[in-house]
Amino acid sequence: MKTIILRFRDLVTEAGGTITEHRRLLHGTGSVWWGWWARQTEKTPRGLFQELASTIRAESDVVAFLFNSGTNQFYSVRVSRILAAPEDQRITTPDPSKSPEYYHRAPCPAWFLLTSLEEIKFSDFTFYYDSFPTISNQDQTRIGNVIDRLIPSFGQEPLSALIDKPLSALTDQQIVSLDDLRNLGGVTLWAVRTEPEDGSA
Amino acid sequence: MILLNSELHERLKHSLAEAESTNNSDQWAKLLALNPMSDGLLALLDFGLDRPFFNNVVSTKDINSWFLRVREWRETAVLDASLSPSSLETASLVLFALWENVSSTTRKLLRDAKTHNPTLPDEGGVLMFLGGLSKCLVIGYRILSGSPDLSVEAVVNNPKSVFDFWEAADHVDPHRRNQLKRILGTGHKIVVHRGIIVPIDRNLDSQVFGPTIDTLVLAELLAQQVLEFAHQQYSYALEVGCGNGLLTAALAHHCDSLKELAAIDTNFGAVSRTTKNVLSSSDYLARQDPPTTYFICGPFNPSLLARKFDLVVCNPPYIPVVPGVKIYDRSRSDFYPAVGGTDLMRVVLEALPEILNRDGKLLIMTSSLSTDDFRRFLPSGFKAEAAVAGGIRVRFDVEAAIKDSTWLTFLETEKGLTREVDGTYSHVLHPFWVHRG
Repeated sequence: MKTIILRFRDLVTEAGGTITEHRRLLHGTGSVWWGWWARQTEKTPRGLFQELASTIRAESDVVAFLFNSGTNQFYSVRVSRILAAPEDQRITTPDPSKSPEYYHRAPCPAWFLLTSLEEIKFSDFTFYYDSFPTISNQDQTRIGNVIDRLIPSFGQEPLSALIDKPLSALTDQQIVSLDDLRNLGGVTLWAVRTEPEDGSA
Repeated sequence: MILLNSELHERLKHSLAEAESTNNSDQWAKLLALNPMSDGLLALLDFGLDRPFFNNVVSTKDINSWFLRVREWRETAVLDASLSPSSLETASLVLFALWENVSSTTRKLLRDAKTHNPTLPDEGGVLMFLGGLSKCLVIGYRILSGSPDLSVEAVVNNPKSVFDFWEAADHVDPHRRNQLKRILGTGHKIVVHRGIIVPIDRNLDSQVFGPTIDTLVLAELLAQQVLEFAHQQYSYALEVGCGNGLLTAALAHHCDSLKELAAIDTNFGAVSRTTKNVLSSSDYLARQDPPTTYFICGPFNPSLLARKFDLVVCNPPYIPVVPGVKIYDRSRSDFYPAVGGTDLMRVVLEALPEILNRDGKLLIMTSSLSTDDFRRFLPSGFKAEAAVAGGIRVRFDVEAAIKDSTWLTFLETEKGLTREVDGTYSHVLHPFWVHRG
């Protein structure tokens, strides 16, 4: 299954506040808008969002994941709608009554309507890199250039052999740990493929 | 109503033409985002909505209904992720950028207004007059967790009086009609124009008049003057008879090189409202070097001001009264002193040698009812140029005069007030620029 992992931190709330606020609205209204807090250098991957939207149209929602890179917590969410601003633009929340107050003046490049949000263990699934769609020139970007710090996974085979290759060489390589995500790419959104550990779809 | 080609307007039109030929709306979107006062709708109408570029999105005939359904259109035509990037029409992106500009400006203004006006209701409506005054959007708002959620309830073409708004209720669906009636019938009047918001609470601001179409015409001319002649620096500006404060707020907001700004009115409520309207703008307060601002309650006295100004604005009473009637002896609750007589016009014009710098100018409103007075009061050495060729014919809806049969007859028989076939009355607004000749 192709999907996305969205990175976030509790930058404007107390620790755990982001999830608390979203859960509160989710329980109160049945759904909540999650804003993608992209970095300024990231581009909006409309093509990828279109693929996910097709899945949503066919199956009513799509499973995606949230990664709190401050606390190392991982969440599974169901996304029933995606709204994405035109390239290089940002939009405020589609519905202030369904998003935490701290968002309301902050435009984001895309918004995801969540209908469920639960904490899981990263190890509950096996994840593989698909692509880095928010990096404009991922085919020309060397993996070694985007590793923020020494990642143990990249210190040994098979990943060590790919250091001088472009990011696309990571496609279908397994994401070994959340540390890999935190320190690789400097991005807030990864396209990934996943299989649950129990082998179910 | 008023369409002038300002440098920024031309740049917007040029960017639209570029979007049409290159299929890239970026430049237009950037210009709009950089300048909330730019009002892209003015450029859009001038550019030509009936061009093939817009065929699949909206046409000149359909722009009003596009506004009415803009929230749904925005999501389904642009934001919906199921649309492929290549299927996003450039014309859609152009209109999307326009609405983002309009709505984000309005939201910000409402947030500022709510912060400084605690009685502002969490739910209501805003009358947003677009550049050129060709249209007014009646925008319903709900403030949810500090953030205004907006919906366009009606679009009024060429708004000239309050009756145009009530008539608009006949042309919208029942749900919108009820919304519109609620907005127009509320005790709050919130006007937005070119990046300025003026909220009037009819209960708290019972002595404050307007803003009405004549104030908006002056505000539009002021905005166009600043855009048209962006190289001109205004250091000292004055509004005489500030009333609801729209023009003082416009001076404060549009003239970013001001060192001093003064506003004067005999009515304390008007001065209080003006002060709030100027100081509630977060952009103004955040300026590195805001001008020294004087809010003066009292009669206009050029000697008291003791300085000359580059720019003076005045929307004085311009309806002549029956000879022998003293305005200030009458205790009326229908704003009689705010609209009746031409004394303030005379005082301001006679004071020009004392209050205008050598290159300074006055923007003043008159009417076909009082242009003879205006010409008589104009001091020698000063020239008056019509700001709008031929003036603007508007409905005469001054309640104080309409209720007074003696006054009404005087205006009709002696001053040229026109009675229309439907029994209503009209006159022509004549705004003038006055400067040393």
